Amino acid sequence: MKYVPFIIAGNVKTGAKHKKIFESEEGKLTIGLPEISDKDIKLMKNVDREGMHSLSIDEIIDFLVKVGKLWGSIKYDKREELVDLTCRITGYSKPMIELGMQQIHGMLSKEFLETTLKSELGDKRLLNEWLPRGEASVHCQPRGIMLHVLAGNVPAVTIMSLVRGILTKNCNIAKMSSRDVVTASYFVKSFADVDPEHPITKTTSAIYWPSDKRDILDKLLSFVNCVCTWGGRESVEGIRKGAPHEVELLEFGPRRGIQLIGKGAFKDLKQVTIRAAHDLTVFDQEACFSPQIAFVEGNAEKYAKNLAESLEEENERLPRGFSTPEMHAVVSHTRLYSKFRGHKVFHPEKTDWTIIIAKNMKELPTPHPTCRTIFLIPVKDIKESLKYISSETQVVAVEPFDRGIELRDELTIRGVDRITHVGKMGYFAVGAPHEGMYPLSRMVRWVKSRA
Amino acid sequence: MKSKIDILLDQRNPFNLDEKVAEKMKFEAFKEAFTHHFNNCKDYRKYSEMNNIKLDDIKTVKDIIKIQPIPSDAFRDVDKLIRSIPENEIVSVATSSSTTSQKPCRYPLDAVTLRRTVKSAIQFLKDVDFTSGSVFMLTPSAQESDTGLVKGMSYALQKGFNFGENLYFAVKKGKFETERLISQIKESTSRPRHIYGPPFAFMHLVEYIEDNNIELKLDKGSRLVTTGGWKTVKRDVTKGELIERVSKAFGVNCDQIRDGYGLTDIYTMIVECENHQKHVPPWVHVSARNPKNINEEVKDGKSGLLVLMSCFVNSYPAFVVTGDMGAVWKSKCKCGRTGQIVEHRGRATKLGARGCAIRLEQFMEAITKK
Repeated sequence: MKYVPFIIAGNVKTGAKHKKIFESEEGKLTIGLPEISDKDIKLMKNVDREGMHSLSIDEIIDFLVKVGKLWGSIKYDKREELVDLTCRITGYSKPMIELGMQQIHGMLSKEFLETTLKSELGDKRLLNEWLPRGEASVHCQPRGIMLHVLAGNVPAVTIMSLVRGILTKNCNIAKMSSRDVVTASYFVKSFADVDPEHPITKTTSAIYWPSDKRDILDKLLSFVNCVCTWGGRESVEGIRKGAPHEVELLEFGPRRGIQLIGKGAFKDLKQVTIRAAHDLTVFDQEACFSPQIAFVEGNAEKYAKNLAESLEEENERLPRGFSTPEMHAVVSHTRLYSKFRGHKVFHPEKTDWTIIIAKNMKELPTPHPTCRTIFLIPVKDIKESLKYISSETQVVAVEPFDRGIELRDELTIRGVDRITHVGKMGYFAVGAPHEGMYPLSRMVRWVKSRA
Repeated sequence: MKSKIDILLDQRNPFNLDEKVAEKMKFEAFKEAFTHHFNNCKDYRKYSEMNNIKLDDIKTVKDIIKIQPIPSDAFRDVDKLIRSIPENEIVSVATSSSTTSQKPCRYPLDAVTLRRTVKSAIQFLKDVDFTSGSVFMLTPSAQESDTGLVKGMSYALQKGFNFGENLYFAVKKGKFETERLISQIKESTSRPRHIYGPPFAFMHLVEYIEDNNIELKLDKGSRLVTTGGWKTVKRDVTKGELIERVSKAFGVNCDQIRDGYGLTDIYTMIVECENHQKHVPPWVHVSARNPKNINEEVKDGKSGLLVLMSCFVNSYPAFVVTGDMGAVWKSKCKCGRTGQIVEHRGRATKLGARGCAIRLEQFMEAITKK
């Protein structure tokens, strides 16, 4: 059994009250996790909020950059251990987890942090001082204590959520998901390697409780000031129901991605399908930005054949992770169903990826199997996709991109938040809003006084 | 001339046939069924040909697995029904509820299928001694529900054994009438008294009996048959715990409580023997397939994706890949029955819990609401 600790306001707590078994190519792994006690909850409630508030934003950036340097080094012992454990727990392949590590390292660079603050708050100094704005003096106060309810499907998101909370001088509690009970623990534990007495170290926690232990969530909700929740519909709705009215609630997910492939994409088809395959491959299509459907103008079969080649190549670079028999079964079921319906199905012998040219939108199999499966809908004009796009769609990737510029108003008015290039669906441009908002601006209270 | 399928359905002891005799009869009946559907269901023929399966490919009992199964979802949400009979021969349409989608599967039924359903049901009801007395169904009546679980069972009980007025339904106009049901069970003079329903409905009754200290003792010949899935039982009651509590609440032995695997896709049911083994009748073929390659069977006893095939369904090709994981093996049970034994091991939908990628059906639901 491998023990994964909780970090309670800087203190390490181990135990095996909860045992979770994970399956991977390497066999079964049992993870032992401690239990959250009332004493732990008290510690998290009584963190030094003043200490956190008194830090300057530059001190905070400096601390996070130091943490980033640790995680950027492949020799850092916690990184090595975390990569190995995450592969075994989440089932992702090692190259996929390494891709996540690169994202984490990039996120903890001074440039990224500074640009994020500038684009989200306008001026980082607002976190330190009162600045004139019109007739008022304006300042950003932290909300207080933030709870991050994580999804666990994309490791970098765990870090992104926590970094946002820290940048806004909040004290943070990360609730890990049953899908990934290690990333937040290891990340927060690494703070002590930078400075065990630092206010950030002392005010950050990483914990877990099983979903049936609703009482722990309720106890936390009684004192936290802001909740950032990621993941499936059930999880998001559960928090929404339990959160008191005055708690600021930031919801991320569940959502999806769509690709629009215009005729112009056929000019350099190979390049386009390489990028489209990457979008489909990143985190095995489990993310809210992953494409599930592509509308294709022109020869869909030609596009499918090229995409099939590209998916094979991409699978070499970022291999598909471990799949349970149930996951294989869902893919096989989808393929059979599609064949029966008369859709054209392209797939390798194994269940690594599947491309289905569907006759129409009406007869698609449900539920979507994910597992790198894409439905191609042949259309005369990619504009035909508009009637199928609503706020359920987070991101639309368009090729050639000038068609995206042409359609961006119509797409975003329907609820889409991001228009991007094919191949960039899983990457958020620095300074861009996230799901229709600037999250940092909601993690602070905007206060004013007369100038 | 009597069809091979009817000959098989009319066997006196179908669960105790000599292995070789059973195999021969099973092959002939399945060959007859496959030929019928191949020749009369255009979609199925096209699908079989696409998978390079022709009539001549089914030469022995071992070739039954070559019969191309249709994924159960193909029966869901279709404008036109999948059928092997002319439209004017459809007598009714059965539906199966779904936990993954709001849209049910729809199966056309003709007079031949219904007649054979009764024969099949008589065989399995006789096999579990569910033939006389009274039956309390913890469901709505067939008039209020068109699911196979309700419609098929009540049709079989009425047509097969004339239960008539001794057939009771607990749910009326969407309401579970607990007190009325308990009184009816207590007062019924038609013995033995049997109960049939989903596990969560049994648990509801058990809790009511426990909370109100009601004393009930059913009969030696009573059978309590659960069917319809375990995941909806509140507070995750295990099968063992349910058997224990049902046994105590109704004053019966554990071997009187039998779980039934409702094969709605092929309009039949398999009920456990006294040793809690689910014996497959010879007119049904069950196989556990390799989840990575559905055309391949996994070894005996190993988990796979269950494929259910029935030769007696005339109205549609009842060769179905389910969304269920399970195991199949052949052995002579302590009870003396021969043939295949099947064990249901859960749904192949665990993927749904992973990630924040929205499920397609939620997306479709959202866009259709606009």
